[in-house]
Amino acid sequence: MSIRAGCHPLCNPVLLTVIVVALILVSSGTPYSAYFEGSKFIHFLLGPATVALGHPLYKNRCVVIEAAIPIVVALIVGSFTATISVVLVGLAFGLPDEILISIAPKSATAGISMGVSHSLGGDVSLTAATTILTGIIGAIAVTPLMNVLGIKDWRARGFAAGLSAHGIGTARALQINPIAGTFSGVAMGLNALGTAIVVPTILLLIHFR
Amino acid sequence: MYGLLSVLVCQLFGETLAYLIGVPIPGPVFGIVFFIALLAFWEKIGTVDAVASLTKPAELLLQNMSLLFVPAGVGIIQRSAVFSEYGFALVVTVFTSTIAALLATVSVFLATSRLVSGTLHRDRNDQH
Repeated sequence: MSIRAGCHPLCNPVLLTVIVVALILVSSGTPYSAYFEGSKFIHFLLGPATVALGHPLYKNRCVVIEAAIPIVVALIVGSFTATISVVLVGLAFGLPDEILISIAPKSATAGISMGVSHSLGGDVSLTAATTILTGIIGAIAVTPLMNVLGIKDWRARGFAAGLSAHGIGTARALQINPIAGTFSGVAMGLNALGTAIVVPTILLLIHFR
Repeated sequence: MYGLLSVLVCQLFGETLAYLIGVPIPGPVFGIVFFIALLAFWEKIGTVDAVASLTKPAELLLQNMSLLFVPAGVGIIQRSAVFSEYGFALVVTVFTSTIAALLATVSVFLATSRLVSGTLHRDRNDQH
């Protein structure tokens, strides 16, 4: 369906599937616990899929090592910006603590964001929803935004897409340019680590003393 | 099968380590590090088969990763109250933060990359 729509970023396969399944559950009156009982194995696979992120990181290590300095600096600044901005804007809107914890790791790939949220006592299903929302927003915004700014370095464009919008941003970057796709995958993998370290730290520092 | 087992063992090690040191970092993150170490180890030893058997399940998992988000994403139906109360704030917060992260990352990447290549050029000129 997404392919038929010309891979338009709004027709994101995850978004469509979630909406369809949610509609079926609600209209048939099936409780979520019954659905989750059946789909537990798929959910379980998120762990191994996260571990598998090590593979693209290792495979592209030459390109990555060559751009090591910009990667590390952009990772640190990007990871902090993603976390601090969500906490500050969220606080400005007066969002409760549980919601802030749940949305803070939104830029990391779902396996990580849900893991971080769970270990900090957040609401994992809210994290999943906002993580997917982040991915979709990032994937829609990245190309027009970078074009307006006149940025032509595919490494930088891809890295920003993967850092801010994880797997969905990476899928988008791969559609546009292979170098952007590679750097996006690297950024997603690194920000998985970055988010896991930065989010607990920031939450402790800014808010939850 | 060996490959998938290796991924699971890396995850198990990762989970164990995360539990032992008691930090709020998910086990699979440490699993990534173990997995990279394992790939490097097999490549060093030169067993092409072992590397290939690790590559296949890893690629399979990554290609279908988006499917794996669905069960958790559907969980949002249990949180419709949260969304009806904070939906607007949530969407604006996530939107602002995602754009901010994109802009900060791309500009810092470009600036650092220019700075580094500028320094390299100067070094090369100095040597002449």
